[in-house]
Amino acid sequence: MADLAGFALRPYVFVSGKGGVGKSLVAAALASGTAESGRKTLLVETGERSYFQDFLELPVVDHTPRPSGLGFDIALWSGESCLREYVLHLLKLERLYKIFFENKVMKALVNVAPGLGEIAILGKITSGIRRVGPPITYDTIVVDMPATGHALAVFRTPKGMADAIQIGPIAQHSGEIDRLLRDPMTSALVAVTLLEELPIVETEEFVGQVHREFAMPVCVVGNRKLEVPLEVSELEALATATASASADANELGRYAHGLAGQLKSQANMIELLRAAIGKAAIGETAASEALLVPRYLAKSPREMIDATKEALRVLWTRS
Amino acid sequence: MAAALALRGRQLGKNVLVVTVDPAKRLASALQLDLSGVEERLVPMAEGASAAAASSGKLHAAVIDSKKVFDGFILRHSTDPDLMKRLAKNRLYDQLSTTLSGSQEFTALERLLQASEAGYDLIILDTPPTQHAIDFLSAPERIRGLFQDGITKWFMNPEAQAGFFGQGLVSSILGRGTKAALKSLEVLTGARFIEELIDFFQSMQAIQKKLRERTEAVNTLLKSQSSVFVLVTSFDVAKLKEAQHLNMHLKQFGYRLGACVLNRAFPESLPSDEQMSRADEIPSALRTTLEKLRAYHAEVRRDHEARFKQFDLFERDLKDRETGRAISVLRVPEYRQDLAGLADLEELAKFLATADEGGLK
Repeated sequence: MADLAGFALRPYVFVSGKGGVGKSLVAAALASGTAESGRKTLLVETGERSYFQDFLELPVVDHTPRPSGLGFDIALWSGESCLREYVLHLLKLERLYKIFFENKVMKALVNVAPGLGEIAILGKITSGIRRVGPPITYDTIVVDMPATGHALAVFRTPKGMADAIQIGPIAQHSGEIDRLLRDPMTSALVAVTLLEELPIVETEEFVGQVHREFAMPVCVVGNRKLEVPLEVSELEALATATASASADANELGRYAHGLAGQLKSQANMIELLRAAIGKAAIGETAASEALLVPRYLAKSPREMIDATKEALRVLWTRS
Repeated sequence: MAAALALRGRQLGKNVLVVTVDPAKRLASALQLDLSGVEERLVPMAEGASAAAASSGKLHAAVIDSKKVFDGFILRHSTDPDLMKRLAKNRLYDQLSTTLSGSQEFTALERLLQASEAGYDLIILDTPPTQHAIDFLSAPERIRGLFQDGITKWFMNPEAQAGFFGQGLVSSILGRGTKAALKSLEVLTGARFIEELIDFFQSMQAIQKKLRERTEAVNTLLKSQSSVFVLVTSFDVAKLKEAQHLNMHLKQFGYRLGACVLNRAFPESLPSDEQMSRADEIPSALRTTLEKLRAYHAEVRRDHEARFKQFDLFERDLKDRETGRAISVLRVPEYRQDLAGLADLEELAKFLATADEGGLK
């Protein structure tokens, strides 16, 4: 797995996956890990409402980066909050800025003006390297992206905008953002999936698409791997022994048999995931293997982040 | 989950349509159908489906092609035959109708409205994977807001192309604040962006009224007794808080939450501690193995008890907006096998029916 070493030691690490696969946990573990390796790290949530505020029980998560208590800073960036900041920076005058944002019609326009919000967020994320707007001092920004389909649309926005507008500041910024997304030394994608057939198939399509279109290095994380401290053969032996026993003991045997079945099908899914990574043809650039994160039982959010860090450690360890 | 609910409708003998905008084609693969490039398609009965299920129920499935729905909307409602041609050249229209800000939400709801006029007994709309369902519900309002008279007026003057921020007619109808705001927008985005924007608004002017009517109709439909929201959430405390937040919003805006589905809430079969302790028949050679299994089982049980406690609290807060009656929360097991194919979904559909106590009828 040498090719994954130091994968997350890039300026921008985007984390996406189908809804409900646990990408936020992976994003938090990544941020915590890169911070631990000595890089100043920011975890960015996109949208209007913070997930981590509840998950990590933080007093407030908003546009301003604040310490998470886990070594990295955390912020919630929405299209509007990023645009606001950018406009203020560009117009300099507070008065003009107020006019801009307190105008009702302008608000409606900004809300729907196609792509403006997406550009604003990606623009804010990449503003450090591009030296635009207020200075940003992070070595690594981990972005907890929207789910796969939407994430792909977000990645495509800068090029779409640059092609559509061609001249003017927006076009120029969009072109620069797009170049940074396509620079394999700068941006990388961590795609999270469950070890189940449909999410794996979806992940294969998604990473293949992102890799082909943006030449972005991709690492795939298989999440919630069932870990049972028994071998399949041990479980089967218990099931066999109770086959003709009383109803209750039989229940125990069925449980053992069920677990054995789950472990076997999971092993198949891990094979499928490896094959999918191979088929998506992303092997040469980065990950030829999937990293596997266990499913946790009765663990607090911070314990889960710590345990996930162990599973992903290679990503911020230099070879 | 949408597919399973739809199948349940069919099992009850209804004429059902399930619609999705999911670009990941999850619905199509769950139903094992090729839904690309078709309006909608009849879902066949699973092999070995019971006679009762095969009675009179019908299920159609459709995937929304945002661009097609948008184009269709304009073709249907425009009085100007050349409008589509003009829009086809406008790059902002191209973006608005496909990938960006609210277009999927808008087309999904437009499709829902069309379907509601087509005589189905039950329509299941699998909402787009927006991060938060509220964004979904406010999308039509946002799009409508864009085409308010006040805004489109700015862009009505043909001279605008030449000197939009000049001293012409346009500026006379604009307040000073708006002029300054637009000037700022031009500084930010560049003249080319503004040009495209003007062209876009001028073109859309023709269907402004219709757009407003349709969004109002959608709103009425969503708030009526015939619409109900089903919230599907995973077994995660932070996700629950999100669900609570959503429920509050739904109430606030006058929508009705009908049921909440907790997906993967418990293992398909988990023996009780009692059952785990009785294993006299197990040969002594397997004692250590047995102890390992018991320890593991105890850990799984602890994990579930802790989470169920959270869920009980959550459930207590879920009340119907009118009756104050508790909203049914369906706990769906985590199936041993990944659900794939019709037969599995039919099973899930039956499970939903038995777990529910009336909320979904």
